[in-house]
Amino acid sequence: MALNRNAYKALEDIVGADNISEEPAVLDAYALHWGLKAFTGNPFGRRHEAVLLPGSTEDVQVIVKICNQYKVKFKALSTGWGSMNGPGGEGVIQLDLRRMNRIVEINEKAMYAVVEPYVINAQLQAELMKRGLTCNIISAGSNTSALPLTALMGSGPTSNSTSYNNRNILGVEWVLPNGEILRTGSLGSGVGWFCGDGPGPSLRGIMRGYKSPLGGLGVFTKAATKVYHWPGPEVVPVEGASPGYTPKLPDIISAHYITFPSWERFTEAGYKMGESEIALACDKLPPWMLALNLTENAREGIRLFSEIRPQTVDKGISVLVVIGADSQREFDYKEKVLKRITSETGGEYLPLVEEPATRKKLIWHRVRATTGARETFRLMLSQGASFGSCDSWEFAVNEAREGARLKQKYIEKGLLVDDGVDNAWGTLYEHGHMGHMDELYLSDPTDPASKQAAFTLMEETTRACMEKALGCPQTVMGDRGHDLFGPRMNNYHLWVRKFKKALDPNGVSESTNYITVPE
Amino acid sequence: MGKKEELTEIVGSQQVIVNTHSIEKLSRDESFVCPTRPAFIVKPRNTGEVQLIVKWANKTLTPLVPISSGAPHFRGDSVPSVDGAVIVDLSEMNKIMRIDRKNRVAMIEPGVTFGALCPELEKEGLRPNMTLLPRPRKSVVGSVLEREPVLMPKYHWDIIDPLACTEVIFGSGDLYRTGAASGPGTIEEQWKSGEAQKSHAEPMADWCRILQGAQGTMGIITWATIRCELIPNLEEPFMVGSQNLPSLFELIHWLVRLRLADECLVLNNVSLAHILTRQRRGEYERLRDRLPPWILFFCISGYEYYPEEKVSYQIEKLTDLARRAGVKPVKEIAKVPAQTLLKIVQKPSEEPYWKLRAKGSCYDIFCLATYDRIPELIQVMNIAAEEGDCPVADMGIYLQPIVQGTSYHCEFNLFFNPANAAEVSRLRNLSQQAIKSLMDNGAFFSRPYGTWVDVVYERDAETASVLKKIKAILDPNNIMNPGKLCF
Repeated sequence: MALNRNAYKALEDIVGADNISEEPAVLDAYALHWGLKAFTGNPFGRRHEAVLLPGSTEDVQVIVKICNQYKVKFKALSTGWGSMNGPGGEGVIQLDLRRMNRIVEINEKAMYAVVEPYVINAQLQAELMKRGLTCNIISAGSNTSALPLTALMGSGPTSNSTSYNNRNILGVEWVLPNGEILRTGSLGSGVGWFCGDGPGPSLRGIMRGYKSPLGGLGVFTKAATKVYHWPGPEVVPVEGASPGYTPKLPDIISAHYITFPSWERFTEAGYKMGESEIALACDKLPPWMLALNLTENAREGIRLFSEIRPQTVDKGISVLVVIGADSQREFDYKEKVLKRITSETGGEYLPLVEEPATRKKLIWHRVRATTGARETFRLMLSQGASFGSCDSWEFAVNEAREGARLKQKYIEKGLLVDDGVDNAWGTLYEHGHMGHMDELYLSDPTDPASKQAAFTLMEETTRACMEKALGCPQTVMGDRGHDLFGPRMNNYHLWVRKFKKALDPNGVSESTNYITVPE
Repeated sequence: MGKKEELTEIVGSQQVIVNTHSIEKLSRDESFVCPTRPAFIVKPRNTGEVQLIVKWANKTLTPLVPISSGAPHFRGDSVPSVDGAVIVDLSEMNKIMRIDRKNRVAMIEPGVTFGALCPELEKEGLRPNMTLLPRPRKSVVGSVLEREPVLMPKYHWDIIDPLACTEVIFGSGDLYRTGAASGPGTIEEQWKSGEAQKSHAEPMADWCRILQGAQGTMGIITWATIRCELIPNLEEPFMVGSQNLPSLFELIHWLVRLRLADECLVLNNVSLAHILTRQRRGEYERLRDRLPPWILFFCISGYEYYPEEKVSYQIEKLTDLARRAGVKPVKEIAKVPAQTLLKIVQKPSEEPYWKLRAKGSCYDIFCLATYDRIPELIQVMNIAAEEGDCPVADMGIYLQPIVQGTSYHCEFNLFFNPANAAEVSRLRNLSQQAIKSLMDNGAFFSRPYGTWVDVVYERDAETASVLKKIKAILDPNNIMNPGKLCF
């Protein structure tokens, strides 16, 4: 379905001929999502009708108004990570926000940064570190958007001390689906970005839940995000060649990889570490991911995993703890507390991570979140994730336990990759106030039996969430998922459809992966 | 059947109050909103009754005004804006349903007061992130729903804190559980899976945020979970007196950024003197005059593991930071020990409520701002007070860093004699003038009450427009506290 010529011309007038295209090759480049291949056998998703590169909020606003006028659906994309960024149907134009890439403000004393959607986390963090600050970087990696409204979930390796996206948002500039610009909180009153809530009820309540709306509720064009103290140097020199960089970090930033003898002891240790507020990161990086993180190719990764398996997988459940301090005394205190907690809960430090060079490399990988893709996709297998709802630490651990339990039989049958069974990534939030965990699994997309096992496991984990009160999984997207979980969760889907309809009366903000409103 | 009889059928005759005195008391408060008599007061005892009341109100198009705190009320939100309203008094829904030490959370009904909750939490080694000296009959749920500032900014990660999940009857009459409490599973099944109703967000919305700051216009909360914090093993409180706010802000920035301080707040000499003194003649004035203009109060704490060592390295760090900021933390100012103040702010106010001690009533003007705007806002307020013939020397000021220090709650306490008509009139005029001037100079009124509302929403029409759409979804017949905010 070609775009109405008048609509195309009107859009071209806004962004200029250089910033709009309907060339098939360009459209195919946007339709390419490798993750799709595992499901459909074809890495290409649906084509958009056109791709536009708006350069400003004003551009976006006019584009959205034109879309309303011509009843053309639009979907915004920032850095993109997966097929959920693509259109769910025909007649959709893509707004690629890559020209909106400015760090608008860093307010060091008020501890926030204002960014446009195509500022990536690596870029923002590098600027922040010059000021002794850092930000939450989602586990997908530092190449993702720093706007805390784009990622599906928003938790990252340092969320223990840097919280997560939904709770880091301050003021937001938001082009609503009808083309009006909403500026939340203090921004709407014209006094700055420092607060995203009010006057009166906070519209952050409909902006997102613990998941983002995946482009289905207008376009977020700027947002302020809280930032946090970084105890390390302003600039960290690195040596070596990619991906084997070794950073020069001070000795008062450290890391330990600790394995506990049981889920119970692991849970207990998490609570203790949270309450004692010693950790910059308390990051449940499973041994499989640790091995892939520290090595430079898949073969090396598998070899290292075999090497550390007896000390980790075979002994219990592991966590990576990063400690950062501003003084030697603080560092000594935190190390002492960690040792005590480890001793009280029967944990053991992994010797590999006690080696200074390995340790520093690992710290840098986690603080910079540079290795998410390496840890999950390096084997070029199909990676799936389940669970991922957040609440207490114990709840998060129970998600991982259930995930491992359900997964084990497929590994034993050789249908899923033997990643140690417990391959759940997760973290404490806010020094133990909450926790997050998602169980990852790897299948071979070229093997129908393996593919089927992955699908069946996905169904089993979804059913476990419903039957065992383990939250709404992060993979629940779109009408099918929400219509399944909504009736078990206060009919939340019906309420969301109501406000989607109220904000998007013409249904132009493409929302197949969010929720749609029947005509 | 009349409305009273219909309500009686729902809650029983003893729970429907028609007593003239009680009704008269709730027709006004300490603020300047126009008095309006409610028709009845109804006191539900459980969620089922609340839901029936809301459904009845939809059928009869009767306005409902929920209240949970005991009198006195201060902001006009509990005074009906329209005739014929029914006050839904939740004070008898006062059960502490669960205290979960491991997950640092309490589940409570809206009638639970700070006075009732604090001792129960203490038994479990927990404490709430307190607001500044709430009156003992102040509802904890009421306080968190109003986004009242809390004393420990390092535990204030998000402005929604310490509110976590809620059970609410929306204005439509539908029961909804927000956040993790939404399911799947019953609350008991969630407890079994390890959930503690800590996460306030659902998958696609965060309704709790819509209920917060809503002044009862969206629905009626029937329980909420509240984040709690640990009681420290060791506490070292300090005060810093100063003429110079920027130097205090510099120190506060680092105290919060490095997570050194638990409680951390600034009072001017007027507010601190009112907090510390009773009604004895001359005592307040003497203390006010002895105190420096600004007093930063903060507490460094140690917990389970090696508390002395933790406090020790933190004090070493503090000493360095204070030196760089050019200020000196001390353990006593004007013969007021920091330890005394610590004990005071960790509890609700003693009776009489501290804001009423001086002159019988108090009108607060409060807003949010970044640290750098605050000196200017104080100047603006001083000028407005002088022009309005209100004595600047008697104006209390409370500055509270919030949300990890990203902004400050800035509160002006205007103590007045409610029997003095001229004084009341001056203050009423001052409040109107001051709001505009404060907004012009960087103040954000995230919680607009009473007469401030029009000015605030005039500057943010789009927020008002979207809020009205949401209100129409949750409360289609506009029965919940109509006339408040932009509704």
